[in-house]
Amino acid sequence: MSDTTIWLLIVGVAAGTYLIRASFIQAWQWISVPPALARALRYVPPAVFAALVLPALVVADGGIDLSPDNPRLVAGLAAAVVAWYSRNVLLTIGVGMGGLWLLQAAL
Amino acid sequence: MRGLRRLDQRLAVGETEVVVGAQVEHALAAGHLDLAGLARGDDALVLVQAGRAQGLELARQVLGESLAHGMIRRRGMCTRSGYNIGAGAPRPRDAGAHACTLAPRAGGRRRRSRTRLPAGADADTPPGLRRRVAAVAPMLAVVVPFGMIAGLSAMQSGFSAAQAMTLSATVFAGASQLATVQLVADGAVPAVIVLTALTINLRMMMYSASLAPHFQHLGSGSRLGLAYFLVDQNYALAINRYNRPDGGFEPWGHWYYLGGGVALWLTWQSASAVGVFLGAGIPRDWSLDFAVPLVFLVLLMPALRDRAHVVAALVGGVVATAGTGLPLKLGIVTGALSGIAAGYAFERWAGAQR
Repeated sequence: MSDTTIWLLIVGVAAGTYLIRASFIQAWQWISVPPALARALRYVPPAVFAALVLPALVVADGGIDLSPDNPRLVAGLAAAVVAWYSRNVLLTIGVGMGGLWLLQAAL
Repeated sequence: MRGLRRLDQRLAVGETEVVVGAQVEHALAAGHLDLAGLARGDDALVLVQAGRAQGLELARQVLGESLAHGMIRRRGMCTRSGYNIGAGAPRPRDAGAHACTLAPRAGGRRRRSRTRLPAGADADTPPGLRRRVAAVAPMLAVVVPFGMIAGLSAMQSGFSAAQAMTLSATVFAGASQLATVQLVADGAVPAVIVLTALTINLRMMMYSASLAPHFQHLGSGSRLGLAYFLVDQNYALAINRYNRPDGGFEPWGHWYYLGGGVALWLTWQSASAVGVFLGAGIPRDWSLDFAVPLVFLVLLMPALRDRAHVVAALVGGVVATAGTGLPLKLGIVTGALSGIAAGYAFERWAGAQR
């Protein structure tokens, strides 16, 4: 991706994010929040985070790889257990990365 | 204890405190605890999931102590200087110092003083903006590794240092930054990257709606400025304050919000800079891109609050995975939108069953 494209991309994400932030803070006088929207927005975090995590763990070389030979899946599952119980960013990254390096070295 | 009962009610409140629900409770605790007292900075995340009995119990314990603590402190002292705000924390010239000098004085004197406070000072009894910053301190500790990964992974995806720092400074939303750099590395087209990043940030629309009524007495310019600091942790702190039984000193609440926002912003930029610095020197074959899904994993867990949220996550994850082959890397955004729809549909369905 060219340098200019990355700059434009940054501008796009930044501007869009800002508009989302300002949306109702600015427009409150004119627009009330539709209840259905408010309810639906509650599901943004689990949906987006899962959509980001799962493909990163199970997709390898363009295909879905659910075998124990997939180091990212195995390391990711170990990290998931740690994340669930510890809720600790550093610990989860430590276990996940450490696991991945070990498995990559072993395979 | 009355305080605890009140908190229980607050724990039961759902609507606006959605994502960061339990962080809110922790924020309350954090407001009256010094960072040094928290053995681990990651406690904010430990407490996040409201649904788990263990977390709740822990939250209650912390809250119980801090409430008692807070009551004493509210009587008027900011002498206790246990706050270790950290190097990155801003020191607002006016509000902090000013409020602190007023603090030890009691009752009427204070009230008179309050009218003299500059616009920047907080109406809450003693400690002004500085305590606002202190309230956010444990959250800052959580933000640090996250920000480092954001800076680091941007560098590994081929961003220049200037681009990586601009991304952090302008977007100022970790999850979308990570997704952006990940998709750049995957070679997605810009339009899809923007779409994906903005889908991730849609949750902020909910925060915006939730805080909007509290900012309506302010001018349009102030509101535009405040909107920039709308991030998860800061929202959690602010809404918790506005939801206090005393209204969180409503007219001045935005200074509290601003203090937290500035502290988070500075911490985020510092952590990003460290990540950029490290990222430039780390070879790519260390597979550090894998740290990105690991961070999302930590964010995902507390979001699984009930069955509807789990459904949203399952559908989101599976559709995104199945959509890996979709053109233009549309899989993630398709999965995310499907998951949102599924969670909402499940909620309605479960509601209809009852």
